[in-house]
Amino acid sequence: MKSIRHILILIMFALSGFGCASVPEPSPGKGALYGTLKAQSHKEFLDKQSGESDVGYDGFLGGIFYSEAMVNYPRLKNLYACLMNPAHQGGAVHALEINGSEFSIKSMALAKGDRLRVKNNSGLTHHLYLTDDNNEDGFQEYAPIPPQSEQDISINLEGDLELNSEEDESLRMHVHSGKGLDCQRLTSGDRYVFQDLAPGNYNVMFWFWRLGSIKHQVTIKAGQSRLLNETLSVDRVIH
Amino acid sequence: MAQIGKPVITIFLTLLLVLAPCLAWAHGQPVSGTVQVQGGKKLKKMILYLEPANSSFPISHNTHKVTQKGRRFNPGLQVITQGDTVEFINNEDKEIDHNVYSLAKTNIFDLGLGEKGSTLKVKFEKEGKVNYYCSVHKRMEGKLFILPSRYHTILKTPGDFKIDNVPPGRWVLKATHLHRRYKSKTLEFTVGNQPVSNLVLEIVKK
Repeated sequence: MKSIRHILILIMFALSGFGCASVPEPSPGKGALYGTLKAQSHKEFLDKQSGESDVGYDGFLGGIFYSEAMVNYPRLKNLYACLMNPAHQGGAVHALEINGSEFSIKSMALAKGDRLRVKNNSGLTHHLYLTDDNNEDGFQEYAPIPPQSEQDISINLEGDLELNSEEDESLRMHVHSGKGLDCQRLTSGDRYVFQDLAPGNYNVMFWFWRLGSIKHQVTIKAGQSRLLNETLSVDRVIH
Repeated sequence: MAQIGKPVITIFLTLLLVLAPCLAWAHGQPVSGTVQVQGGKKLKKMILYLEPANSSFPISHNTHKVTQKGRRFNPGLQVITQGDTVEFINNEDKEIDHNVYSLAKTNIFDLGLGEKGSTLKVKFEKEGKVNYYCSVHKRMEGKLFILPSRYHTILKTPGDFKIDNVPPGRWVLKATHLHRRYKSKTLEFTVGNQPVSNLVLEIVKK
């Protein structure tokens, strides 16, 4: 069993070599920022699984088997790599659907001034509103969206926010909004690239609503592609 | 003996009648009233609490327990006071690990991994609302309301309320709840040596 496992791992490693990501080429006078964003279990949990123990979560190919009840960090969706770019104007449109008692996306990072194009697939008219996690007075409400119709709503608050519905308390989406935030939505292990950046200093943020954020400051030089990989986990965010 | 007994009883009863209001004053008064929600919305689980208006009260040092059996925090919503400690007890039947953490700005913490049979503790020094999670299990979420004083009550639906044994002084009545569309007004009042009643606290739409 162990030898089969080792052979399979070797095959996967060899195949992955063919898909090596190339370094992005910036335009003349510009730079780029790129890297991989991953999510990971708590360090203590990982350390325990790598130890010799009868009690664990062993997967078939080694590593951890994530049951349905667990957070599957290697496959976690809706991670965000965001560049705080003063040149980036809000106003982008992001699609969002209401399906029964759920939004199609559970969390989103975006620029202040961006819009959500909300398609109401439910049988209820929804009065959506936006509140601020850290400021009770931070509040924005929107016109009602009738069933089977679509409407654009603009995000004019900044910070850690929540989008809810007056009609259905279980409808909830976590939002992180900031001025000039240029964000890319990723699944754990995905590559992100910010191309054609003017040389200068930038703040970079990696975020997932249930893990919080890790921030960096990077300097981009003309003709340079700067590599910045990051891993989001509870212990890395908090400690 | 009977001649000594009667005057003793009389003195005792007299003293009791004189001192009773003073004792009541020293032990606090009940504060009661009603909560009204704009539009008559039936908000669930409202926490009404008192904050001292212009003085501080001794910090609380109680301990509360949250269990984790069945991959659930129980109770999922808890009300505690500034200075209290919460113990997270892994009482799972199987060998299931849990990690408890919070990203709340006023109370950020990571208690590490707790195996079956373990207890992880955290003390809450600042008031506020705290959402906490288990990093291992996706549906494990809990909520804490950390209040500035232990004078509070929980209402399942809007209506009448009563908070007992409130010490004399100037107080502010507030409410907090889970529905983010609404916010509570505040009400300042004084507790003396009589019960305070007929307060009306309004909860309005933002």
